[in-house]
Amino acid sequence: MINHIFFQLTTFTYLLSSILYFFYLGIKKEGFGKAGSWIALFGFAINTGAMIIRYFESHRLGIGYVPLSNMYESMVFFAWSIVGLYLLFERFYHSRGLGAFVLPLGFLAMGVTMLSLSPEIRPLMPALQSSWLVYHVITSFLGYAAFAISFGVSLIYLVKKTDREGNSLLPDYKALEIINYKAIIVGFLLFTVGILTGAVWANYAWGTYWSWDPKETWSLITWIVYAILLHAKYTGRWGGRKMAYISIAGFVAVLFTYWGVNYLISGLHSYAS
Amino acid sequence: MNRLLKDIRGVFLSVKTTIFLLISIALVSIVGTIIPQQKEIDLYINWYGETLYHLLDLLGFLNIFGSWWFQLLLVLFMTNLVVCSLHRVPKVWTLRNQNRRERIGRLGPYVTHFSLVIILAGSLIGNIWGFKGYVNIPQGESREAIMLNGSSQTLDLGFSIRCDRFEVTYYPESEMPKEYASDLAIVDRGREVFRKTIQVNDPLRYKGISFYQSSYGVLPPQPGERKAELEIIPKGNGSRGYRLQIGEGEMKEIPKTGYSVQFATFVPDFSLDKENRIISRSNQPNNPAVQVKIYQNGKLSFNGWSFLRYPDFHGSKDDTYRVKFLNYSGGGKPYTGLMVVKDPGVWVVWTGFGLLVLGLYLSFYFRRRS
Repeated sequence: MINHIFFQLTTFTYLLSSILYFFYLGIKKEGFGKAGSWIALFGFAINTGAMIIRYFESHRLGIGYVPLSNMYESMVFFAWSIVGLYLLFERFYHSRGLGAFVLPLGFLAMGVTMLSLSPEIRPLMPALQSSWLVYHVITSFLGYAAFAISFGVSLIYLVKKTDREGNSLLPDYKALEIINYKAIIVGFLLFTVGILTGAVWANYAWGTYWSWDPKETWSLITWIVYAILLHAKYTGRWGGRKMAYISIAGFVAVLFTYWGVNYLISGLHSYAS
Repeated sequence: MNRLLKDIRGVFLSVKTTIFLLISIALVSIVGTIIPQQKEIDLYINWYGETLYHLLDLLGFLNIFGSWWFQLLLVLFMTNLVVCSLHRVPKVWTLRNQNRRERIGRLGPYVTHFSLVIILAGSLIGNIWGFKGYVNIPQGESREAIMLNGSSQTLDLGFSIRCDRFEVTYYPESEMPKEYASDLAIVDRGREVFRKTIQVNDPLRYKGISFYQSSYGVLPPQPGERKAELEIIPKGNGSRGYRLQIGEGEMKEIPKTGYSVQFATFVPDFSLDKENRIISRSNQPNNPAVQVKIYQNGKLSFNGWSFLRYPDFHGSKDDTYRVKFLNYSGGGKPYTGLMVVKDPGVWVVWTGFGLLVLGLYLSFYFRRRS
């Protein structure tokens, strides 16, 4: 399994990149930040390559599917989405300091996968053979990744000292609020599309677009948390700290939808473990 | 009276109400995922004890998403959405002097909220004018009525549906099913009008009713009905195989050899238990196997198992013969299990989905720049 080796290499690169970003924040040398970004980009390329290799390896085994069908594959795609979206944000907002809070999430996702999930390529049960599944997984996980970035930004918001005495490499409060909002609207739109494509798929596979199974219900709960956050933002009644707390609560709901439901509650999605 | 109406309208206009309703729906939903919903009574009594079970049942906690108070929450939420949207319509019309981009952006929240109303309306239409049920059709037979879910009622379809063939295909060298497929035909007023091979993820639709591949099984066989097709290949001397049809329990002599073949037993789902005894894991033909005995002049010279799905696997230490299990028949008729759904609201729901995505896009990307 060549793909697994490349995923292990990806994990290592994300760790290295996280460490470089930490040094950048601590020592405040531009070089560390630049190295962190380049290593992150390099890891992202390996991550991409490994997914492509896995696609071809599944075909060589005579199974042949888009590798987005089990926990291992969704996790490596999750890490890919976090790092990819982060690199885009870094480009747009010219702020490398965020990397020290976001890249570790990509590393954690990869690390947990390498340590605890089976890399085996197994044949797909009939219900999973649908192109709607591919759209569902891609949009859901890009949405999750945007929420992960919002989580990282909110952590910075809460641990940061005031603008004047805090670390000069971290964006100021205003900028953090804007980045958090952008990450959430990107995430909310993608996550909504993810829920809807999942519903369409369920209708093709099981004849019902919504059956209140735990995964569906928890995705709705997550959706509601972010909907409340957006309404609070538009009516302008809550301050930045409160928004940061709700962003973190939203990401906890994301994690429960993703893992909690699979490992603590069983349902239609239990095959995805 | 007028004042009361105004007060009620005021409550529904408040964003606090919206947030209160959203939080309530979320909290109730969490409970609905912690307490398993709509399970058997025995299981509940086992988990919670008799008293707590009756209390939970009375409060509707065992079927939360179908309970009247959950539906009420959804209706209140809808009312809130409609009232808030209508209230803000005059404001939008007065924003004429804004640029085009800003006006489109202002439409976003309306489209979003309206789409949620549409989606719920669509699900309501499905609940009122649709149905969900199932039907099992043995291969070669037809059915005109289906069983409705959650009741003992049958429903006449007004046409008949025939299953010509049901088949499970497996991945090579694996026990994982690759596809379940049924050849279905619709017979309406005596004429065959429609044919389709359905699979999981690919249903048949006729007159607004969809038939989904959902399960399968095998009817119990009639005694003495099962027949196997075998190929016997004597080892060595490069001789060609001999094919024969043989009934369960039957003994057949192979001409000009002095050997007799006996079809001893059949198991539909071959497996070994912890003590290495042969068992059938289920009644489903997941791994059909036959035990074949071969006698030479009345003396047992071969005794082994052969597998339909693993023709090259030798289940015997005896190497005097190789026995290939080619096919079998009469082993109980397979039937296909279909889920039957009529949902006239589904297109309304899809429309709502489209509007929801459009509405969010407009809200997020055409907003005034701050």
